[in-house]
Amino acid sequence: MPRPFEARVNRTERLLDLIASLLNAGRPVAFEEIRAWFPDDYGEPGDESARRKFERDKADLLQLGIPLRYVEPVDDLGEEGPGGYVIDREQFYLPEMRLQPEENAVLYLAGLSLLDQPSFPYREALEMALRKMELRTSGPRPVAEAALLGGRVLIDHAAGDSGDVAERLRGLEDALARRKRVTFRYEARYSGIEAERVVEPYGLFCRQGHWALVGHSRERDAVRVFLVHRMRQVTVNAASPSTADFEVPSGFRVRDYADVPAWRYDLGEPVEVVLEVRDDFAWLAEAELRSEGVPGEGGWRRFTVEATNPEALLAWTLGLGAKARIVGPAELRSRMKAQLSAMLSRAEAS
Amino acid sequence: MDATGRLERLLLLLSYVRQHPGAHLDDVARAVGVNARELKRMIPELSLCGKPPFSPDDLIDIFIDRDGRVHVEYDQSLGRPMRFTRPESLALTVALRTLAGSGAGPWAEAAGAVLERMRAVLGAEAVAEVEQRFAVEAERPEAVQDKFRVLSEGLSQSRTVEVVYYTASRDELLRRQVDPYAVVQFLGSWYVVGHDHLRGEVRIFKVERIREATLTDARFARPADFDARHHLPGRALGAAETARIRFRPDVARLVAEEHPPARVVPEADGSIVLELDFAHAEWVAGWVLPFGDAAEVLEPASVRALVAARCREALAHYENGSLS
Repeated sequence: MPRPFEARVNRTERLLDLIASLLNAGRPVAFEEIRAWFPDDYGEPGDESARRKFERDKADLLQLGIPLRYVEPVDDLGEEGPGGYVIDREQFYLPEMRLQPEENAVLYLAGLSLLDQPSFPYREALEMALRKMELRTSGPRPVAEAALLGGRVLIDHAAGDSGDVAERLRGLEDALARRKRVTFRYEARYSGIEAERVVEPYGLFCRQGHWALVGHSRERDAVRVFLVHRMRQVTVNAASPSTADFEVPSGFRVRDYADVPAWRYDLGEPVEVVLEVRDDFAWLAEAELRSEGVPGEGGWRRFTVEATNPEALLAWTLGLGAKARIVGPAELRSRMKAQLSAMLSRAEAS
Repeated sequence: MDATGRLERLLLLLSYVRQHPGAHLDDVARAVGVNARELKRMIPELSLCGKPPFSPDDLIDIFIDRDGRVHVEYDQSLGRPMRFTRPESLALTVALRTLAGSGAGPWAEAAGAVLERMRAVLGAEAVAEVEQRFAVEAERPEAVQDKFRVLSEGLSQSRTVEVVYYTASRDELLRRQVDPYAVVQFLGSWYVVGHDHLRGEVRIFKVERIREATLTDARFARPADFDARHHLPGRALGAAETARIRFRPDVARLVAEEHPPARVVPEADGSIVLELDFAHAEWVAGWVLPFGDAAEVLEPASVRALVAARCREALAHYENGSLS
């Protein structure tokens, strides 16, 4: 029996009807029957454009994660049955989660902190997920729990990036999910040279409030990191939107790139740098240099690191003043000395 | 909002009212994340939907009564939340994964446990996907987790903690007693906010710069009006002076993008002058030094002198014969 109303108001209602109908049917429903339910929408037999409308609706429901599937009239065991569309009730609902109050609080602490970050590309989805969770957890109200804990633990992933980065991130995230190539103009951080880059996006990370894209750069034929706020004119490859342009290498992990110290940025051939830090500050250096070092002479601890961007080690050592010094290579050591002399004579000039 | 986004909102509304029958429409609107006017439009929209044969009993029956309370009579099996969509799973996984990897003692462990318990609901695929291509803040738990064990106990038991702390802004390493009021993660770094017995006021300490932390038996009471939000790092508390620092054109853009809160004045030759409010000259010197001769402190004289002193001390290491 068709729906006894005037032509419906909008697409949302049609989708809702479709879900309610299939969820309650309790059996596979052939397309012909669905068509009979919604003649205004899915048209007469043989109407191909109406059929495409149904296909689009189906795609939207699948996109939403609704377990809609087609059951063949003959199953794997050769048994004959009615073929058609079903929505699995078992799979449809969010199961109840029996989280402890502390677990609930931690979940909200984690969630709310990202919700406050304006450039997080999945903010709306996160909001919806937390609202759903609230309906599926028993026990005390989770928000109240979070407030209880929130007074003592506060997370602020404060965005260092400006507003237009959020929009750019959405585009990049979409390219990432569909594995489409992106093209943008980029000014390299250290050289300052601007050029067009064609990149296969593999992952995104946020470090100290700044978002970065990790991907395979066609120009360099290697995996590189790009700061999103430095990108301009970002475009996503529009050709064959539903076909992936590339595969992400198995074993790729974005964290391996998020956690790279500046002196390991891939900017040249590796150089072995030896530096020393005063014993009483060596504990601070260990975290930065990712090594425990070895005892040196006269109250110093000696660190040997492979640097592909020794410039960054120079800067770091400068920042420690007299608490650190570069031992080698001689070239870096003499540059350090030259820098300090230049800075000193300028600071002393009146 | 597109058709599917709207659909999700409508289903959330139905689930909420199913679970909170007779809830006031203001509360319903808040829980669904819309305003009351939108809610009043959504309810008749829901009431038009249902299943074949679309007789009155086959439609969703939801209404607002005279007192502004919302009721649902028939939900047509749609009154329970749907499974997470792919973006929802990804978002929750990123959130939990971030906290789990932050090294924040018991809270990080709890976040990891929740992630584990929710794995089936989130979908193994989403978890794997996040693992591969999403990270918020780098994971350096080893730098903080030992200290967190002590700090979290101090926090939950209201016990004073003794720390050996390196203060960059004064360049000093001191032992002090701190009453931990809160821990704060800001821009990827953890801090503890608390009453500092040494200075007699609330101070903020970066956990990475704590060399040692031990729990004492002394108890404290956290002030009832304490709010960690008022003590976020990066505020130049007590900033009394302004430094002017010039940066060479080749580093100007980098500095302009990533400097601490300050005013930026562009110069004709492409260089920039940064006007930075500060409380401690040591902090300014420590911040400027890594730029080497690409930066020059113009004012005040006290900071210029400090930079000169630091350079002179460091330079001594490079004079002939000073290094074996």
